[in-house]
Amino acid sequence: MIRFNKMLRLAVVAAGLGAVATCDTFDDLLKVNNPERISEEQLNDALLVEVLTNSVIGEFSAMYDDPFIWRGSMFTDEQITGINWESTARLNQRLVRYDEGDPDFMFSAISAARAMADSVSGRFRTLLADPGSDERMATALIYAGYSHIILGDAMCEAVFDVDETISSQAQIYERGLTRLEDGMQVAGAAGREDLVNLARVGLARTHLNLGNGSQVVQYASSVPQDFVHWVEYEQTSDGGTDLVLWGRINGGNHSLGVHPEFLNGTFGDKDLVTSQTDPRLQHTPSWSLGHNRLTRLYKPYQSLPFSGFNGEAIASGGSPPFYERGTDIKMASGLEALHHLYEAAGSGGTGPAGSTLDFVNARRAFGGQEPINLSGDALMAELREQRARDMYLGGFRLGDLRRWKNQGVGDFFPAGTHPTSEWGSYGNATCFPLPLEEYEGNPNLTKPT
Amino acid sequence: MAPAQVRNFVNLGVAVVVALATMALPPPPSAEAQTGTLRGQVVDAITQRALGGAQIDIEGIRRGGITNTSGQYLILNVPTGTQTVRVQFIGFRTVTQTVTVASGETAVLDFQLSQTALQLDQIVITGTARETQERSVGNTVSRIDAAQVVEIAPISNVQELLTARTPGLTLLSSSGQAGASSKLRIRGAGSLSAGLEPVIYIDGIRVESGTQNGYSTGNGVVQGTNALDFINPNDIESVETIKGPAAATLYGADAAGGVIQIFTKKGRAGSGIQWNASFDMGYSEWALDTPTNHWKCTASNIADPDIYPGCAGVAENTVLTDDPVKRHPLALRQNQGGPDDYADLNTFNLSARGGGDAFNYYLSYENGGEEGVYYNNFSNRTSGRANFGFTPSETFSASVNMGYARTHVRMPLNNNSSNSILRNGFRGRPGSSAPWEDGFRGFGPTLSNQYDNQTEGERTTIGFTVNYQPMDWFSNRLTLGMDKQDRINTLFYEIDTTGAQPWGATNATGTVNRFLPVSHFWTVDYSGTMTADVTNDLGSSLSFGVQLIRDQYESHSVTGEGLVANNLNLVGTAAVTRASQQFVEQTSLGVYVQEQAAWRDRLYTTVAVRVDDNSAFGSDFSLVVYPKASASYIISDEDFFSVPHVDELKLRTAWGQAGKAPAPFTADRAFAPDVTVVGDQGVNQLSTASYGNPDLKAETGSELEIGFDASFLGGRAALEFTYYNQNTRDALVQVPDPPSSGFSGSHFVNIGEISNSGFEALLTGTPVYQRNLQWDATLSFYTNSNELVSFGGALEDITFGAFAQVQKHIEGYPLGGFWYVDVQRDENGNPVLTSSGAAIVDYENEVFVGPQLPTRELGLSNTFTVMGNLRIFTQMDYKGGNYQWCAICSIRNRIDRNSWEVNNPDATPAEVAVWRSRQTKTHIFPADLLKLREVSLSYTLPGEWSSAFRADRTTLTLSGRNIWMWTRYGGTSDPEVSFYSRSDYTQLDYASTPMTRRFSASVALQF
Repeated sequence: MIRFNKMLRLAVVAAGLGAVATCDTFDDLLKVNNPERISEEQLNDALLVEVLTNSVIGEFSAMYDDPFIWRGSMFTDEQITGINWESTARLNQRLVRYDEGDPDFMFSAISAARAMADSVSGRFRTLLADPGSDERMATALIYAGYSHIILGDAMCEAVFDVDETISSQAQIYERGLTRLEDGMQVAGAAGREDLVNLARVGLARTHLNLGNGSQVVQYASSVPQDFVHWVEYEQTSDGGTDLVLWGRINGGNHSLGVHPEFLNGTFGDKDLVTSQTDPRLQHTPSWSLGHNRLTRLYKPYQSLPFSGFNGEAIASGGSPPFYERGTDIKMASGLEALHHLYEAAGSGGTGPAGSTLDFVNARRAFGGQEPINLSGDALMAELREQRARDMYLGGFRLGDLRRWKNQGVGDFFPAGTHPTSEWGSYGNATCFPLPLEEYEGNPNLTKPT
Repeated sequence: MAPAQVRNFVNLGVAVVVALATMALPPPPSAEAQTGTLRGQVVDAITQRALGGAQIDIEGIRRGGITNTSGQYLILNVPTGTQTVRVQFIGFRTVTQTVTVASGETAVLDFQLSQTALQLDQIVITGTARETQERSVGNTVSRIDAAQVVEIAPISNVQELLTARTPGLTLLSSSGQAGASSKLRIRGAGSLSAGLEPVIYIDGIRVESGTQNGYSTGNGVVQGTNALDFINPNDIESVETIKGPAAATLYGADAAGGVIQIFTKKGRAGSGIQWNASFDMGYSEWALDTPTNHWKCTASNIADPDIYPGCAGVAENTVLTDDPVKRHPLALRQNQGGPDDYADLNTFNLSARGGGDAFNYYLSYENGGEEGVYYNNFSNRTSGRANFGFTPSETFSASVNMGYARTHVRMPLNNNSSNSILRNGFRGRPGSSAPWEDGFRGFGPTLSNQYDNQTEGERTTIGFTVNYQPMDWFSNRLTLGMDKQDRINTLFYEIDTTGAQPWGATNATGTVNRFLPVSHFWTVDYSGTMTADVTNDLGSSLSFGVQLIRDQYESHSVTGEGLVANNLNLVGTAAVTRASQQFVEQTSLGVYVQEQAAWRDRLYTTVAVRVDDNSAFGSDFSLVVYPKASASYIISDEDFFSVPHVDELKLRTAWGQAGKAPAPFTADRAFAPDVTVVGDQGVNQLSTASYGNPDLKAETGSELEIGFDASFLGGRAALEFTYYNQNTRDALVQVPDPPSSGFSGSHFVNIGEISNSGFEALLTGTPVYQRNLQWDATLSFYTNSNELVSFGGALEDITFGAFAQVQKHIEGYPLGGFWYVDVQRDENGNPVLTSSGAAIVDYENEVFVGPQLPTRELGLSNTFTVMGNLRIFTQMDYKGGNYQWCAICSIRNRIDRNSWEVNNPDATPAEVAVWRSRQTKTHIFPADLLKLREVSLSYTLPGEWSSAFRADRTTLTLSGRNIWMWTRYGGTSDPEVSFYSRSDYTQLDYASTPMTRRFSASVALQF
């Protein structure tokens, strides 16, 4: 039986339902909350200035212990690893592929710190009342500069934005210089001498890498010898993050060991107590097998760049501390500035700590070593040795080895058979390549063949 | 949900109800009429076997019942006069007879049903705007008669119920651990990054499905659990599956991966009460081989007893062997060797089913559990269901379906975990120093078994459905429902008293981690249908509807570190506490209109369109339109049809679209709050979180289905055949965020085009149909050809894989296909070696091996019924054409060097060098397998025996699962395992537990 009139009436009802579905009433139903995120536009809020400043520092801290120090030192003669993760372990053989995870981890983490500092300093130009003399602007700029230093030390090359071309290591450092100089100026105007010194150390370090000796001396000589700026770690109920190195020496799957180059004794011996006289290079006197159940690991105690360093040596009956989850790392220091200065000044140089020889002997005395009387290349070699001991596992060795290799001083990267002899020989990597993720995500790059 | 949205949500439901109510109210109850009683028996026309469970309906008065085990039925209060009675029973032709009922008297009406393998009159619900006969549906709808399957097959969860019973529905198991999840795939892989799982409905309400997260599930350290494990298979009446956009258009923007609808058992009005009770008990075991570890003692090993104590004093090149997983008494339960040491399983079920004049009910209770083969693995479930139906008038009915379940699962470490039994057992070096227990590379079983990761869940599903037919040509259905799940996932480490800190320094202080996710799915689903006979031959059915699905997920994670004592393990009492929270919600709204025209009840054409809106793109909502069209032609009803041996033939075709939307807010660039330390204080910071893509839109799947359903040989055989061709455009592809932007992770872009095609066939029949012997068989076959058609010029390829980059998404090849690299070879094919004797991997020449997903599947089930009482059931299934990456094999060769190939004293240095290299050529294997999946032998006691203890029916069953396997796989043992239970494409075998063999015995009683 045909009931077209009623069908028509109800069809209208149905059509009405469909129409209503597209109107505002139904839009209300579709609205959802997102309490986990804040959009980019919402960052332009003066109330967020402190949080943004913290973000600059936080992103820098997040990448500094790992990947920068832990993975970065894999290429050097500072550590041997017992990590079981195959591609990460290969870093320790100086083998790296751009399509494996570690280059991505390295580049992503440093870029996150760099991009945060750059974007926050950009926002501060409008968010702050007086950006030219605000310590928060100075912090953002200086941390941006340091992020470039770290990027230059670790990466073979870098990209700063999907619209830009690839920058070489030197170009990375050059970009950092402008930020450090601007930051130093703002910090000065803000009356924050500690930030000024932080910028000075960064500038000295960058110019050292660029081979600009006179600028190194200029900036480094103005840094007080007791200056220290820390990268902070803590794990408390109110937040924070652990020092990654703490996790690498603890538990059944520990993985961090001292490289034979810095070992106080013969690798593989069971008892190395009596030889451990330099408080800067303390480690467990006997080895253990860690995560990969293969590599002999002498776990390091806190060295000079770490906040718990107590200057004690095992040979003297002392008790050097292991890393704690809240151990801090020196981001810059007066001692570091002196090392930059004397390396730039050369074997005949002078500085706040006297001659280069005086400085070297002072550092040897700190390490319980007899004074020496060297000159020329031999003295500079000893300066490099003292630099390595003073900054052991503090995040400098990779940049130093690359600089000395680039500037013709010498190739001091580990070579020959790896201490874990089962792995075979070292490769020849000196830096981290741009990762596969950048090639796949950046429309302006083409994958290497 | 915000209060305003709650109001809107409620308002929508109320508005629809009020609209229906105002159109017409139910008629007043009629005056009491005179009645009689109807009884009779239903038997098989050939075997004269009583048919228990047949459904009896008196047409037009909503009165009926079901037959008991003797095939008998009794219906009280039947109105006097001539009544038309219809009998339906799965696998038999529907029979309708008339009977005259006199007041106060009992009329007798017996039925003899004939088997038929094709049931065109069967009602289909899923994918249609209203309940529809299968004859009118233009797409294929696969149906599993779960009640029958569960009765004869060893089924303990929904995953097992779905395995190899529906052509085109592939179940990818991940692990043989108790409680481990599986992945569902329908007709291959139609999406790159938007998810491949079908959506699941239970009695019309959307429920959460898929693999659930928990501590350490994200990186493969722990297998995820399955969201569908809360369902008691004994509560399921049937399962309908529609397989792609051609059929799933009415489900809109989530349904491109197909739809599975589970129908739970309902009561029967006027049928009295029927009790069912069953008890199962049994055990499971690791039945497959484990790899043997080898170590050849070299001169340097012999000289280094610190590292190789087992080589001390042996001759050079002595090969030591070990199988620690099968050897260590605490590695597997069965290693203890005693009959009581196997992994136990047991289940108790009790249900009641029945109804009165105007109501019906189904009530059930279940308690059961299964131990895994490891000591720290079990999966328990207690569940109940209460389904009620009310039919106060001929025009109005309502039903409430409620399910409640408590689950408790303990998961061991596996796969990628450095501390798992399998990983350390498979990677051990015989004779090497072992830090914890001999033969294990890392932790031994004593430590691994301490891992305490438990999840307790509560799941509540409530659905309320109203059917209202104010006029005989106008029907309405409204469903309101909610699926709520609460879980508490606890990971606990006791305080370390050994000083060794095996679980790390933090955990040595005693830690407790609690993850508390709560998820809700709300469903509001209205549909209305108006029918009209336009002419004597032409009928019209106009349907329209609106569907709102709201999904909300919120979780809290709390961690306490530094406990006072192991039994004082509340998070708040720990020295250091931390907390985090996650919140995600999404709403989709769809409206649809469908018109179906029927010509002489044999030619049906359907056109429909659904318009979808959803919150997936943040505040910038966008409408998506999904059309469909289908036709069904029962050509065998035509006078001209005459094909020898063919009884019925239905031709069908369907075309349609459905979508896949990404998660909410993926289009927005955003930052997330975090914490850091400044000046020794914990302070707030922001971190990059979401790269975003403002141009994002939903991907669209289109599909064409063509096929036929035919019955042969007097209904004793039927064939369903379907060809399908799917195409996904604007496929959402997850590409890495360029790290230079400061973001790390991935974001979606619409750049892909994917095709899937193949055919499905289902042949059912009864080759032997005699009084004392009946043989029923079902053969299903399915093929799939999957291809990534295009990246739209935006990408060359996406390469991925775990432990080696062995998989690719690349144009012209199947998604996630396997690719190998070999070593460099000279012109004679010999490996080129370095000066140190190492082989050099030839990374420049990658060679395609094959697809990740099966390209062909076959299932064969047989049921032999002897003398009516004895039944033998077997089910075999075959999957093939796909490959598996045996990462653990590669790792054993190149890192652990404990395989026979590397330690074979007769192998040449070049051969060993190749095995020890990072080549993948010899570690990607065909994954073809043929499994004898299910076997059962059941015997129904003679009626007089059962009546001795007041039962109507007693059945004893012995059953087994995963009894036997043939495979081409050359990896550890079972190609069905998967490392990442939560990954769509990454597929590998790395120290995963194979499917376990299970035996059980059960007794089932019906009262």
